[in-house]
Amino acid sequence: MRRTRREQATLIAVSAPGLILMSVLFILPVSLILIEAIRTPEGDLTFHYIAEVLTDPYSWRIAWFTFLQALLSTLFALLLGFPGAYLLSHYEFKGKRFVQSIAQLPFVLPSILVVLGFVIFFGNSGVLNSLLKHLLDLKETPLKILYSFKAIILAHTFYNFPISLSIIAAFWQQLDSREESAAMTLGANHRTAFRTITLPRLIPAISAAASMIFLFCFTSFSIILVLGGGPKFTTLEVQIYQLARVQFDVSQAAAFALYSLAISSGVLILYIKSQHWMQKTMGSVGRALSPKRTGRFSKFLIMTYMLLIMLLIVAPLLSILFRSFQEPISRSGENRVSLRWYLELFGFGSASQFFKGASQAILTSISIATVVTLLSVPISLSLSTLILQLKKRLSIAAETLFMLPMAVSSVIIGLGYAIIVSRFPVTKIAYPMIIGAHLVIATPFMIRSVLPVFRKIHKIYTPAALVLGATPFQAFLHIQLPLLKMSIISGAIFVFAISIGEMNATLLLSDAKVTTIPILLYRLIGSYNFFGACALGTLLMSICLILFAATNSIQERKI
Amino acid sequence: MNYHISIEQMKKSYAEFELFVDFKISAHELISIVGPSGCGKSTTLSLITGLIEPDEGAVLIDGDDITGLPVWERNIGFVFQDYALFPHMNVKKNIAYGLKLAKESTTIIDSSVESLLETIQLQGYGSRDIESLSGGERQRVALARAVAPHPHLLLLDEPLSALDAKLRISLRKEIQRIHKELELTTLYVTHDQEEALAISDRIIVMNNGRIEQIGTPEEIYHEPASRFVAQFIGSSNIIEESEYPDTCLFFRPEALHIDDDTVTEKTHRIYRNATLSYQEFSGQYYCCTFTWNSQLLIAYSSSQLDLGKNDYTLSVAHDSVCFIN
Repeated sequence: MRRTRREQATLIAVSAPGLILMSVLFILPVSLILIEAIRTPEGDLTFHYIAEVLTDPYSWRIAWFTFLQALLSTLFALLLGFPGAYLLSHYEFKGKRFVQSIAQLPFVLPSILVVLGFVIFFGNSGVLNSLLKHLLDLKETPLKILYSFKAIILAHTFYNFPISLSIIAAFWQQLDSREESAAMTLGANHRTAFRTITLPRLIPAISAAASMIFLFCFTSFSIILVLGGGPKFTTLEVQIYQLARVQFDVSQAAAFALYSLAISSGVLILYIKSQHWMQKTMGSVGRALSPKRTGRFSKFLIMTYMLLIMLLIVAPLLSILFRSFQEPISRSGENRVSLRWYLELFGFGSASQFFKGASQAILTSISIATVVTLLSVPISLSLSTLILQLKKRLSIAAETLFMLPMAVSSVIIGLGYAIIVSRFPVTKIAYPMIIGAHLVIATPFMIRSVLPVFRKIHKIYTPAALVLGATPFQAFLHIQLPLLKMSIISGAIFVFAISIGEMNATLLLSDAKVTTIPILLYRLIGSYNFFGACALGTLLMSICLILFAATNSIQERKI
Repeated sequence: MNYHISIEQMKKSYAEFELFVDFKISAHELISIVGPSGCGKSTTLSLITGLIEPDEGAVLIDGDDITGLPVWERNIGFVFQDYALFPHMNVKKNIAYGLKLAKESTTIIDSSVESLLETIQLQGYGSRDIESLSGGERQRVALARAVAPHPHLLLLDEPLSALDAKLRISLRKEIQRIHKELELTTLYVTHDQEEALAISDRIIVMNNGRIEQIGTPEEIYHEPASRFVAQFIGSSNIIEESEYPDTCLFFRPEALHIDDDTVTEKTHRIYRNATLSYQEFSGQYYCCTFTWNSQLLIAYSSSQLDLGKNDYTLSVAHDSVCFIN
């Protein structure tokens, strides 16, 4: 019994810091939202705000619009991703790795960059329109997409179709190809076999991809904020931001946040269910598909798809790079090559007002991301230890709790922190609040990176070390830490990328003094300084792409 | 008798399973635990190492109660089913890990690793990566790592189950040799009864959390203590007779003779008019299943018999038969 007590003491000592910190960082702001939504300014209980949100036709319209745009975006993203998933899972071809890498981009590229790329490429005076004007010799702008419902759906589709592409492709590749063959030996032709065998078997993956994309689009913020424009295209998240930051009606914002949370948790449950479903189906896999060589027709399909990807994802990003080296010389839209924006960015030349803050913003962003990354490592290790040591039921509960922040949109987390700020009339509180919000948003990704490896180590290697005479601390130092190293590094890269690209929560928390790269980007886009935005965007993009390349090059050790 | 290790009245309860074990191991003995999966074999090992804590009972080494000691202070060698070799260390570092923790000097560590590599016949493998090793080589390195710190007791948890049949047979000889060479006290868990019969000094047969029988391989084979042991080890004939309502007759198929005219009722039990209902060729002999009074009897025949013929006379010597519950 002596041993149990000692072990328990160790467990508490190891897991308490992470547990307390995470509870304070996540549960406190979310509970404050709840309290704010049911409290009058005098401190009495009221359901007035919630009732107002539930009865007001305007808020119903917002909710309907939020739902509709998410639904349509999901549908298009699935349609666009599906053929790619087929090609990726069935064929071996040049550029396959490229397509697979591109499919990972939405996870690392900040959405404000996508907005910028979209505006620069598809905008009225964007690259695509200038190109078409030149080629077709037109006077009028041929494509007027921006600032409309179309723009939102398109941007969401482009940003999210890689998710359906990668989820469905990964699943499809695992499917037992013999079942389709069996159907054909029983007399089904290709089409019937696909309709009756393959498609039903893909449903778990389609449902997982759909619920994930829907969740992203439902809580999407910067794309709506910039591309939607105006009260006509407002979603719940934008409404929360407007109420909290422009109208200073925090209670109403909190009521909207609850509304949004209720819907998104429903979708999240669907996502989790689909994932379990997927894993269950994957477990019964016999012989996976072996990729075929390409024929002439499939080659044509692959080329078309790659072109599409280039147009939708790569071209907007390249346009940002291209525009950042230009400056306008006349009102008519003619540009010349220039390094002006980069010079101004780093404080050379006659800086315009916005650029004075640029180098400061870069510094702020990097230091916040560094602090967040460094803190997330011990927190994640501490929480993972707790999850692994607890009895089965409690362990699942703990894991769900620590992953929960992924389900809460960053706008809502930002709102929670904004309420804390409003309660503490202290200045200079923006920094720690932003760091706290970023930690909540990014730490689940670190846990997700570390936990599966940690679980395996805990089950196999830790007992081996203990039996050989290692104390738990020695086992941690000699065995667990070295084996976890790679997943910690790739988790850290993820956390850093998320923090440096985070705009939504930060926008709700930043004051005039604290500006990060994404916020400055947002302001530059808002004031139509697209060239400057492109220079800053190129910088942010380079950071994210370098981090992305780093995670891709990390070779996880087989354990 | 002086026992080296004794497991006393150890109990562990789970939601749908209760384990109770009590047995002793002499110094330098090789005991194996056999039983179907889920019978509590591996749990017993975990209880001895301290990876799982018992609800009741004690583990004694040379009379000292070690039940309260944490895992890392027990000095018990353990070879895991999937080896659990540390993937970030090479062969030498894996073997040396326990010695380093025991704060042995570098010279001692180097020389014992060298001599162990020789014992497991992997000289020159010290700087190899674990990933470059075959399954059998990993198994041997795991064994060397477990015995390096001179443990009081070596535990092996189904060490050969991940290997193919031929390799299993050659490695079980190797384990037996190393056990003798290093004069270890060893507890060997397996679900393969043939493996247990081949290498053990004594065998513990477990079923559903309980010990069914402890005995030498010969005792277990010829005088099983229960119907379960009789059926689990080898193939068997179990006959219910109306004269003995609560017990059964037990004998092995090789003791049952077919159409032997020389036998008499005095020396043998005789089953007349048995029908041959099934036979299969197994290389050395035909394995024949007879039906007699709606009971099944298995016997071995060196030649092929007539399927469906119903006047076979089967006989078994009285001293080859024993009674089981």
